[in-house]
Amino acid sequence: MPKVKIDGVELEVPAGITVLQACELAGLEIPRFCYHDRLSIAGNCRMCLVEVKPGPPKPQASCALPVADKQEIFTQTPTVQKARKGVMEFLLINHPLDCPICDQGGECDLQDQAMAYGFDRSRYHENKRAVPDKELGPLVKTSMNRCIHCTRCIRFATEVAGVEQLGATGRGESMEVTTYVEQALATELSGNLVDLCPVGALTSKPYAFEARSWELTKTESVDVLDALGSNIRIDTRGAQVMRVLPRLNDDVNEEWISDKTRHAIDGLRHQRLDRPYVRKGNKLVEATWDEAFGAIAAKLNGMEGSKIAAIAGDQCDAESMIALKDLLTALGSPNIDCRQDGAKLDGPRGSYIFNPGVRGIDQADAILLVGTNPRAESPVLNARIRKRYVHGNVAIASIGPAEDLTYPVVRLGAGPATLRDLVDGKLDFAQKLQGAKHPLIIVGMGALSREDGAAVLAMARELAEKLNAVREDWNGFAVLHTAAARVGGLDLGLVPGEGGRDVAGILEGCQKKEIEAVFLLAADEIDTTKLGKAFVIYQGHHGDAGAHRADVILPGAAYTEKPGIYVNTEGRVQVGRRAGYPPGDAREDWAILRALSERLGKTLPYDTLHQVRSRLVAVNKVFAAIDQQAPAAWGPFGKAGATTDVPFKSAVANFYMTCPISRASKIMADCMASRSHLMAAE
Amino acid sequence: MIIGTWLFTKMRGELVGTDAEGNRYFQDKRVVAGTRRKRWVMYNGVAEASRVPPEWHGWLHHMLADPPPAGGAPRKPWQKDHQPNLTGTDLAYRPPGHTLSTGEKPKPPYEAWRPG
Amino acid sequence: MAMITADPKDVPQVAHFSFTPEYMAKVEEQIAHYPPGRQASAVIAVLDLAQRQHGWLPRAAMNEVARILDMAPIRVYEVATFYTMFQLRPKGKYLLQVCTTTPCWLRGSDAVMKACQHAADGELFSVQEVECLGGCVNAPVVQINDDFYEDLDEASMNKVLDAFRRGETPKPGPQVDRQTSAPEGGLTTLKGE
Repeated sequence: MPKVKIDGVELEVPAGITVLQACELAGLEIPRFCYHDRLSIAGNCRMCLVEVKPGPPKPQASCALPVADKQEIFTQTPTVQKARKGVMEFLLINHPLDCPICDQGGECDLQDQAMAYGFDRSRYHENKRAVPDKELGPLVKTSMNRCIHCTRCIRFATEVAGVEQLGATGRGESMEVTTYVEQALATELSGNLVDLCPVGALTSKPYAFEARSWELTKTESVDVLDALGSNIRIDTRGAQVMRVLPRLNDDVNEEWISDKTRHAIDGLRHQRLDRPYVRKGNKLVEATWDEAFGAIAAKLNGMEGSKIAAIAGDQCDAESMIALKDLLTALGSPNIDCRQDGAKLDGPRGSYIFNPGVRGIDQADAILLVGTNPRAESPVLNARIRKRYVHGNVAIASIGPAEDLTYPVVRLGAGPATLRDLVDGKLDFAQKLQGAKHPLIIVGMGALSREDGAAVLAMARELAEKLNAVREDWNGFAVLHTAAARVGGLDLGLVPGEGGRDVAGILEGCQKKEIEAVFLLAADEIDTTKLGKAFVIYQGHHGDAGAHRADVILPGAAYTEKPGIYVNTEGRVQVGRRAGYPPGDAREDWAILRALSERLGKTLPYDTLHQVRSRLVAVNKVFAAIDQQAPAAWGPFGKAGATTDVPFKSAVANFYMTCPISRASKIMADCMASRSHLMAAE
Repeated sequence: MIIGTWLFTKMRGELVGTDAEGNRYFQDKRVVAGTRRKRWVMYNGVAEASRVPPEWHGWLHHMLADPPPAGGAPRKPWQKDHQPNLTGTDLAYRPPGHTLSTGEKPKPPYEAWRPG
Repeated sequence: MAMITADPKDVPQVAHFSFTPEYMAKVEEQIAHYPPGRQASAVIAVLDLAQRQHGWLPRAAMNEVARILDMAPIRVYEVATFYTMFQLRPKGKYLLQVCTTTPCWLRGSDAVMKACQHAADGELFSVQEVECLGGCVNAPVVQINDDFYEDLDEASMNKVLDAFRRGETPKPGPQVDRQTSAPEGGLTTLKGE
């Protein structure tokens, strides 16, 4: 390990890092624009100049200079200060003075660093250059006059997002960051460009001129729009969620979030359920909580337990799901399910989580995708796989839909038969998997939520075991979920009990009149026309499919409006926090269920959030370990059997609209239109 | 009106003028060289300082040497009538979202679903 | 200052571009200079070939180059807009690149420029002001397509242009009586045996 002296302090640093990183280890902040931890090094902004001995007698760009043993680094000398001031002055020659009308104002790197290194007036009298703004789609607003050519956006698009569409054309003063031929970026990660841009050249289009960063209340929470559970910061002003930003978590989302996570929030302002409704005759009529509970009690009191059923939705917090399960148990019903898509998952914990964790992707040396399109199901996880691909020496193959995943994938086949061949070692890729030290098998909902899902699952397990992918130091069996609530639901046992019915069984029962009451906890992804004549209680936050069919509507809270625990696809328990209050008369979901239980005479034994969470831990102790991913139990699961020839389909047909929130979002609709326009152009 | 002021007005007050509301403005009868003459107002009704219109306010606070001419100061077409501070009264301004405010309520920050 | 933009919107683009067989052979030869998988290194040479074939570089040509070299189109646009040798607008048959950097300017490039601008009609001649062409010893210099015409003044420039108008190709190099950059009027030293 090289020993370096930074501003007179001796320090031992890891070999191979840059001088800038070494300075950071020493606790010094080096100003920078182009350097970014997760992108390649460009070294073109020249802001990070330091003096280095031994070396040429001039300041050097620390971001592109590797540390060497016995190096002496000076970051505060007059030469360095003067050089940085010079760089700043050059950057500001062509930068417009429009901070008061710039959305980046208050969180702008250039503004901040100009405070330290800027001069209080300009020495240039020439006109500033003018650059035409670019059209980058419905999410990214451009103001290219402000661009300082750090090329972070170009590197992000090329390296992380995998869409080589941005570039720097021209040279010298006529250099421009552009797509050249005007087009929206065909990526699900374009929102991150806005975070990366150190100035106000790329800003958020939906958030344009909405708020200033300092007037927002920041709440650290967890995303529920896909199963990755990206760590987010929710910025609110009053009751309104103004924007969502990523939060750093190297184990989950690094510092990226998908466009849906970031921009579907305008869906939280539309189609909201803000008061209870009760169906009278053929019409839903506004009601008070008391009337709504009364209507439910009148129907359920005295009803046989086996005639009652409940389905939990895809974005439910663990608290509301345990309350639902406890209520159903109290009512004597075994008919409960959290797998709206009918995925055949109910084995040991190892059978339904992403065992290696997102971090495990970095380690994998052969990746097999089964019935999944990670780009649509979880773009950030897909970016992680791409990162692994860019790192090199990895074989990636897929069985299932042929999609552009932003990295080359060998498509082995379309359906279960190919998986069978792979298990039997008939394909070339089997050798690659066999030879891999850390094989990774990612099974998607497209493969499991079918009639023969259990057989496919058994085959995937057989393959994993045959490859010795499940062992002490590595478990390469990974299930990629599409619903944020799924793993939590399975952890809490929201699967049919003894003699109970699953989702398909419940719907069938409804039509045969064997089920007379169905409780939908924000469950909208089922075919509501199949609910027959059953009495439907819908508890949720949006007027989506479930609410239209409901006989009683209980208004609940969306993920930004309640504290809740969510378990992501890796089995990581994460805590979401409340950023605002639910609209109108709507309440937190577990509290609604607790209040309802009292009216039904089956009072649930918890009155505070703390007590509910204690109950969660009592049911499954994984809930005691927040933000940790522990090795999961492994055992026989799946059910060997015949498979069909139907090809695997991705579980997410349309990335932009997967849940009530994103379906209510106008911005997501715009994104979809822009994307289909792009596809039509190709 | 307190007795002291009334007595003081009787003994030393010289009526200067009356405004539209009927408030009467006085100044000290005595002229003492080197001091300015005391000026005060006797309200017609509740003693509320903001009832003094601007032109009399200027005189009262020695910002203007002369009182406004009888019949009020010349007015511009855009000038509004003087209004006392209504805070604490029934006529006080209340923002649209206030419980007691009448008229149109502001829209909630969300759009509610209604059964169609 | 005027709006800068690398993508001229007023250029009549062509719908389709493909290499002719003889140019395609040259393209393949260029690609063969680099190891397999490194074909993108040939981008400048291939762009030049496309320009030679078509006269200038329409967007369709750049897209075709990107396709042949398996590059993202934007990477080709970046190269094409960076180098001044690539013409992104239609130009005349002869491109007059007049050097106006200090040595040429001191030796009278203004007059040469005037003659060129007078001749420029966009069909036969297009004129472009360029920075140092590296022929300072023979200033003023004008590059016409691939050749340098040196030691010019207004009269000799007009003579060269007239020759082109007649369809001839005047002899490149110094337009005065000297061999390359040797002294005018013949050798002054090393005359002996």
